[in-house]
Amino acid sequence: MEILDFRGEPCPTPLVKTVRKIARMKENDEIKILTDEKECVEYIKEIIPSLGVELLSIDEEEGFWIIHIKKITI
Amino acid sequence: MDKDAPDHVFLTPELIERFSRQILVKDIGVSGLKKLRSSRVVVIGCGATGTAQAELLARLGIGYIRVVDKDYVDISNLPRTHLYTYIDAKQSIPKAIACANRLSEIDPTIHVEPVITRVTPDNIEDLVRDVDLIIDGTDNLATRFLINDVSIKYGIPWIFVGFSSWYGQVFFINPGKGPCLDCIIPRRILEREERGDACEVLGAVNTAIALVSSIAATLALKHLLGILNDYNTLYVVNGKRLEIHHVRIERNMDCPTCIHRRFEFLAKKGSRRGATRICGSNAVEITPPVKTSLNLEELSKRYEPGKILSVNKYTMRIMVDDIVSIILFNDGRAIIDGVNDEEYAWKLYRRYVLDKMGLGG
Ligand SMILES: [Zn+2]
Repeated sequence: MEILDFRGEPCPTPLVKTVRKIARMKENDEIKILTDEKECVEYIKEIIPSLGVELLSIDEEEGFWIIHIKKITI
Repeated sequence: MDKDAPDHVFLTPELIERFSRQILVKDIGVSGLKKLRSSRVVVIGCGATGTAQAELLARLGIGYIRVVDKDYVDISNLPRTHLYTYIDAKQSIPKAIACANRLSEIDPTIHVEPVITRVTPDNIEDLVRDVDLIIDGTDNLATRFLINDVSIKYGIPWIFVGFSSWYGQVFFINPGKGPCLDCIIPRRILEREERGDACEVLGAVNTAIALVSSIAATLALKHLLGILNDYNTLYVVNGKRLEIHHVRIERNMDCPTCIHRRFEFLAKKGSRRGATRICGSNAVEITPPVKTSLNLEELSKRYEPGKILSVNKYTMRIMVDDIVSIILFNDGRAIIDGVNDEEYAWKLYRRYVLDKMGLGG
């Protein structure tokens, strides 16, 4: 599974890069996104349902989050 | 409007990227963007303030914008008006079409609907009934009182925007929540306008127009986001001294319109036909007895060479002499530019339009 490490990048960059990636994903593809911007975690959470993506998990680590998502429709 | 973010709004990765800076604004976010995408707005009058507000609203991401205007783009509009170009003026493109084209170029994903018509008691209900907000881009009180009637009748808010020279006023009218236009503007001012006393060309500075339009669009944005709580403030703008005064206005508890719900302006139905001087410009508008649908490009071939200054799907400009010209719309309506005399305008219309159509006599 692909891991996109956006740590150190300020919001909205992780959001924009995540949606660009989502646009090119195929059905059932899964990715993990790493970000240390709490704000962006909230935006990604809010946006992905309208992009045909399922949120599998969000784990808080030391100073960053791991967002695990799966594309369900194209 | 106090609704939560609608679920049915479809966002694409491109839209999220487009609005990524706007999403970062705390009061907007993703839910605000969804509210704006699901909002429907009508802009009545695509002049200086109408186009400025239309552009701001389109760029904010409002999902549906209807633009209504009866006029064509004239070269004298260009210093004050947003969106229009020199080419629009040279081709006498209807303002509603030019405005809609530009908005669609800015954002092809929003729904833009141009309507070329004069706003009257007969058609205004159909133009506004299905929107969330009415934007005032007009230049006269008669139309504003008509907008006010329909706003109160259907409970649709509207934003009053007035200006001349460096100065302007903006007021958000939310039916039932604050004063309406009839509460704040004495009808004698309207009567003075209708007698023609106020029928003068008002100068205007484009920077002041941008300032006033920006205040109006801010109120529109806040209302559509559900964060506007104050419907009692009149914003008085001095664009020269750069001052914005807040004037608190209360409802008239005996207001004929918003208390007694008598819609006197809306009741003046019965379409107007014939020749009418256009307030504020040296022109007469001709509304033919019967509505038609003209193929202007075909019709243009019946004129002597050099007589047709421009022709397109919507309008044709016919030269009468060095000063006077006729702008004919494809529904048979015409504006006789350079003429003040209604009878003379009719004569020209008969000679240059009806005769060519084979309807003279
Ligand atoms: Zn009132």
